[in-house]
Amino acid sequence: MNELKVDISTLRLKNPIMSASGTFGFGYEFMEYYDTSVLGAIVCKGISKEPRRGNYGNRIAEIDGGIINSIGLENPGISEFLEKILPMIKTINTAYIVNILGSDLDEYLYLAEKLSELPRVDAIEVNISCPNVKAGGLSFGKDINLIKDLTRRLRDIFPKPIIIKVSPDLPYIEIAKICRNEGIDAITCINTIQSLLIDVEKKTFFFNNLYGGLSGPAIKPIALRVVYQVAKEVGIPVIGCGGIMSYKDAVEFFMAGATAVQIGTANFTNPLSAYEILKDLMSYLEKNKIHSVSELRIW
Amino acid sequence: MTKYNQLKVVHVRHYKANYVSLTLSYDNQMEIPMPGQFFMLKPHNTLLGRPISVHNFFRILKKGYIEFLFKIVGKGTKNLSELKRGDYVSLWGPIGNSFPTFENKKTAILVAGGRGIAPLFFLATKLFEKRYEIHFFYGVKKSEELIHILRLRNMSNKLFISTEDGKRGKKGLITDLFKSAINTYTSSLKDNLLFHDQGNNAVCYVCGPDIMMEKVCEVSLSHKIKTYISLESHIACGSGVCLGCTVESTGGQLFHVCKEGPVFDAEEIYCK
Repeated sequence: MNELKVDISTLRLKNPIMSASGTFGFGYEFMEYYDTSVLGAIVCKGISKEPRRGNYGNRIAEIDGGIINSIGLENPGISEFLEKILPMIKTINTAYIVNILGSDLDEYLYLAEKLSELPRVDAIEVNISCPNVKAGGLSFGKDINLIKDLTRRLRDIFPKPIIIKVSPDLPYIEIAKICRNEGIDAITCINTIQSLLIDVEKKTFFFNNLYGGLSGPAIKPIALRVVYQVAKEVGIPVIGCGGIMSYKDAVEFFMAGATAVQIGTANFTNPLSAYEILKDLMSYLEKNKIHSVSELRIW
Repeated sequence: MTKYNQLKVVHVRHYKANYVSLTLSYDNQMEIPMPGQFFMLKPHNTLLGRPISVHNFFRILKKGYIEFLFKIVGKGTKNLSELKRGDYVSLWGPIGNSFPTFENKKTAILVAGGRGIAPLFFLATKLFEKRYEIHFFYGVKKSEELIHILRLRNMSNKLFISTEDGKRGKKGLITDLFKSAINTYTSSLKDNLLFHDQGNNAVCYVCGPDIMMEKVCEVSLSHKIKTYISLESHIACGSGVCLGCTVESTGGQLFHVCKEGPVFDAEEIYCK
């Protein structure tokens, strides 16, 4: 019998398959398709202090090999999350990781503090790499001194595991090193990659907010590169994310050095994807007599 | 209840003007679809499914069948159009809300523009069963796009057709035909069923291009007719999680087509 359990520092996950933030709602939406408690963890849609309405105009487009989104972090805000959403996820029996985002340092700290005492919240994932918002997002993640300050102060406030989500648009190695030194528990690699889409017919930029974030199979090789570099050069646990559409893709991430993986865009192409990837991964491990995904690492 | 499934294609029909109808053998474990609802159908050559509204649902000897009607507009719909009898298609649904019907309203005005016929035909069959008086307005660019004219004529008390090429029905836009017909009704037929009690007896359902819907609603709302529209959007997930399918009301409010729609009260969308 293989052992699917993995540890993200003090957080034990029953298996290494998680949902990626922004592709899985709050976890109960997919209950119509399968019991989402089977997943190792649910990472919810990013939450900010105040509700955010998101971007106007076009928000999503499919391109060859991927999709580009410019949702703009639409979310109900922390108050509604605590009052209305948290009670609804009580029945989901797996680790729950809340993704947080802010326009400035204070917003991140405020959110972390609000979430720190809640037993249902097992960890936070901190988004410092959203490519399609004007304030915060990538501009925040590029300020190394700010990242140092943020990670140190988050660590003081939040006692459970803290995960920082980076993208290849950021100096991710440098950020990962800071995170390791400040006692951050893991890094999610990678967020979507900043992209530009043009509407040839209309002779305009496709998104009102100009940039979007590219996800899906097209970014998998880049994600693998970042996972490998951060895991090997920095030596901090890495949660791999980016274009995982099948169990084989997930295996590649474990081979590159990921401790766990997140399923994102695949949830859109088939709502059962995360569940099917988990099932197929189990069969693969069984068939190859591999006892733990950590054995898959090829370096 | 199963929401995701693979269903067998039992019939494919290619109409003129790139319209295709796909009939699938339905699974009893799935929810029965209502007019206005849609499914995500997954082409083999794309990442995302394509949102396609239900065109018909019927039973033959207790066995359920679902029919989708769509126009080939890109590589996803092209791929779906190439399905053959016996193939399986992955899909999930039914998604979204449906056109509401009322006990106290028995006159329905349906206004379809182009491929807006897809959900409104299904709605007409249900309204016909409920013995509504149906006034059907159907406009297309080219006359060969017209579909189901005989069946629509049978179900409707009055069928109004407009084509931009003028080869069938009235030449011009359905919005103009609709406007003049409604004005004629109101001015000449005082005792017409439509406008008893300032239009409270009638309900209007509209589906078509954005600009056409807006113009139709301007007329129907000015006559105080309760109006429902079915909106289209780029839809990635159909599960309410990607938040990509927003539409904006004239008042600036955002709605998600797959969660709060696709059917909306026209006053929600067009009121400032």
